[in-house]
Amino acid sequence: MILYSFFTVPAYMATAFVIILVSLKRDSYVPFVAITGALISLGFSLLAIPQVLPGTPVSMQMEEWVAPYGITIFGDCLSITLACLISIVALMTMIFSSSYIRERRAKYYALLSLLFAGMFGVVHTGDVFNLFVFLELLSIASYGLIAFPRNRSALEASIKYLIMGSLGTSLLLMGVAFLYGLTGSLNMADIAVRLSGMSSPAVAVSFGLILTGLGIKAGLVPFHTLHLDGYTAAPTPVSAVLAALVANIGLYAILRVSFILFSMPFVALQILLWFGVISMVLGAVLALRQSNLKRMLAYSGVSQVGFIAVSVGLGTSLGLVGGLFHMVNQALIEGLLFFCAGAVVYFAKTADLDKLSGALKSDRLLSFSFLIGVLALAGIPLFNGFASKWIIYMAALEVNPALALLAVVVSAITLAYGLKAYSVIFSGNPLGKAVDVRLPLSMKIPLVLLAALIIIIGVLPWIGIGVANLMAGGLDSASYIQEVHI
Amino acid sequence: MMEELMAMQYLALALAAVIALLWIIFEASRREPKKPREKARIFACGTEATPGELNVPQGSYYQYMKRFFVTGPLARVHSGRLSTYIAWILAGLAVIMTAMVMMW
Amino acid sequence: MLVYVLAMAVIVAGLYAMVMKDNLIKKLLGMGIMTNGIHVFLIAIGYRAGGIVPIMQDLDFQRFSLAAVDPLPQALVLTSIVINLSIMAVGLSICILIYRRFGTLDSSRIRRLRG
Repeated sequence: MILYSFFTVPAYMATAFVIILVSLKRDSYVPFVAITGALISLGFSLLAIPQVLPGTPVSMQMEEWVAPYGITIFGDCLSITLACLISIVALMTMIFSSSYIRERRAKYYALLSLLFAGMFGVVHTGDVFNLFVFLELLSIASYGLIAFPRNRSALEASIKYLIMGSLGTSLLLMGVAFLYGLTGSLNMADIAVRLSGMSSPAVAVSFGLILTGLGIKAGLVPFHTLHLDGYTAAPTPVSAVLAALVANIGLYAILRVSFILFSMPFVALQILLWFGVISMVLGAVLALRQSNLKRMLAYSGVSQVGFIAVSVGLGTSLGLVGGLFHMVNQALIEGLLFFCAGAVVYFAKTADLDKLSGALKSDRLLSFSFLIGVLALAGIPLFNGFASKWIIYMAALEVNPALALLAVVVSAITLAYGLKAYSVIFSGNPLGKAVDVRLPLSMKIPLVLLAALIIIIGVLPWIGIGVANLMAGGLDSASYIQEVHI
Repeated sequence: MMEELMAMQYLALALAAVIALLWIIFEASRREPKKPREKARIFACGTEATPGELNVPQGSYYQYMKRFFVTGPLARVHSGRLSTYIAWILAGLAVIMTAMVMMW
Repeated sequence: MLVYVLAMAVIVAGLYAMVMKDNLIKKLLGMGIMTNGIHVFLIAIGYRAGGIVPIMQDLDFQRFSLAAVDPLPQALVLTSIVINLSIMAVGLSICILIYRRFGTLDSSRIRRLRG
């Protein structure tokens, strides 16, 4: 069976290529090519939904090489849900960028297309080295994108992101090397079979290296510093993609590797739990003191990743469902918040909260969207954040009531800094002349769509819980091995 | 699980309606007067108060938070020095490796 | 066995350079050294004492597969070398731009983003 959503990878690579070609002729066509490529990929991802919805994963081999020797492309509910999520946010980013990015567009869109191609590759692969290669593809594209504005902050953020990011993927490569030395195979299902009998400390070492490498990509504390600078200095649509999708990709890779290859040992759960608690608290508490809007949102991204890690680290199936649901929700929320921040920065020409006070004439769509994002981030009922956080609170309550209390307190702090940002930007006293805000259509569409998705999932949470349950079903080692036909 | 969630949703809906009503009233009353009228001078604490004094600047209101929460050392640690950040990554790696090898 | 120890020593040397040296170029060089160590480690995993090059010659397949060195880690290393080439290229270009904008390559002085 052919997995349709895998064609998003060559679709985005072809988009990047065509963009460069088109830009040689006429530069103004470039955003249209990019949006077309994003729409085609969205189509491919949605086509795969009926293939995996009955709970049956699909696996196919590249070039018909049989399973342990060839590269496996694997799609189950977890992969396809993330693929659809990435497609939607990617389309929104392409649309938003068409008015935000004004110069050197061809390079921007080409790098962005390669970034998305890498993401789809990570989500669909069933082979650890293929995971490494696609992760590097998306990382290198992101190094270029963060440095895109070419001002001092962007260059500094990019070199920091580059050095720390490539340190992370080098650690991942070392872990993969260990795995190969232990098992003699790179195929995830094959490694899972061969590792189930081993118990040497070398397995622990390789898992530790892989966990650290992927944790750097996900943004768990103490690996979060690269993301803070990266989200602050990158062009805002790129920050949206990095915060919403790349962190999710890191978490997805951690979950896939931990559950399928190593059968999620107790120590891994503990590591995720404690690192998650620290991320959750540190992100929220430090976001209070930020005077830069984008840096505040970066800290909030770290905090949300902490929530997901805590929820998964609890070890219960309810926690896993809550964590996966929050992965999807957090992508939508962070995307919406960063796009709103993008509109604010575009019109006010600054991201400094001290200077943003009342800098914009009121625009209802922008202020409503930002408010929706803030309330959803804090987990206020009627928005999607509430449903996933409620499940996380319940799951934490079963294990340790102190954790649940801590999560609620962190959510309250989230509400505090979110409302602070909202009131400064949209209800603050004007310091000087207020700038007129006229959102172009290409900025309105992402805001409206993401806000609508947030409200829909918030009001109809059983859709999200159903999807999260399906996603959790994909993290079962035995069914994974069975599907890949070893 | 589902029933609790639904009950919370309905409660939240009622609460949201009340809050929305209150907020509408609040916003309507907070509108700045277009022309300062002679008759409607505001007296507060026995003296005249201008609208500029009445609306607390929203941004600086939260500066007091910085003192209550123990965030100073945490913010200072994020100094921006790349070497420090890489050292943190290696420290995290050491913690993970120790935990892994000891509790496998 | 000695090869593995040497590879680990090279990796640690690269990590040392990345942490302790302040100059950005030295950090990038440290990253290159570290990845070299990882590549040596990978190739050493595939090594077989007294093995022959994994290019099919006029031997019967059974003896060939017993005698040849494992080619898969070599393929992994080739891929990784190409990836590191691109990372170094991007990194050094950014360093050139940083030197133009900041006037220095000292990472402890390039600290506009903090907190």
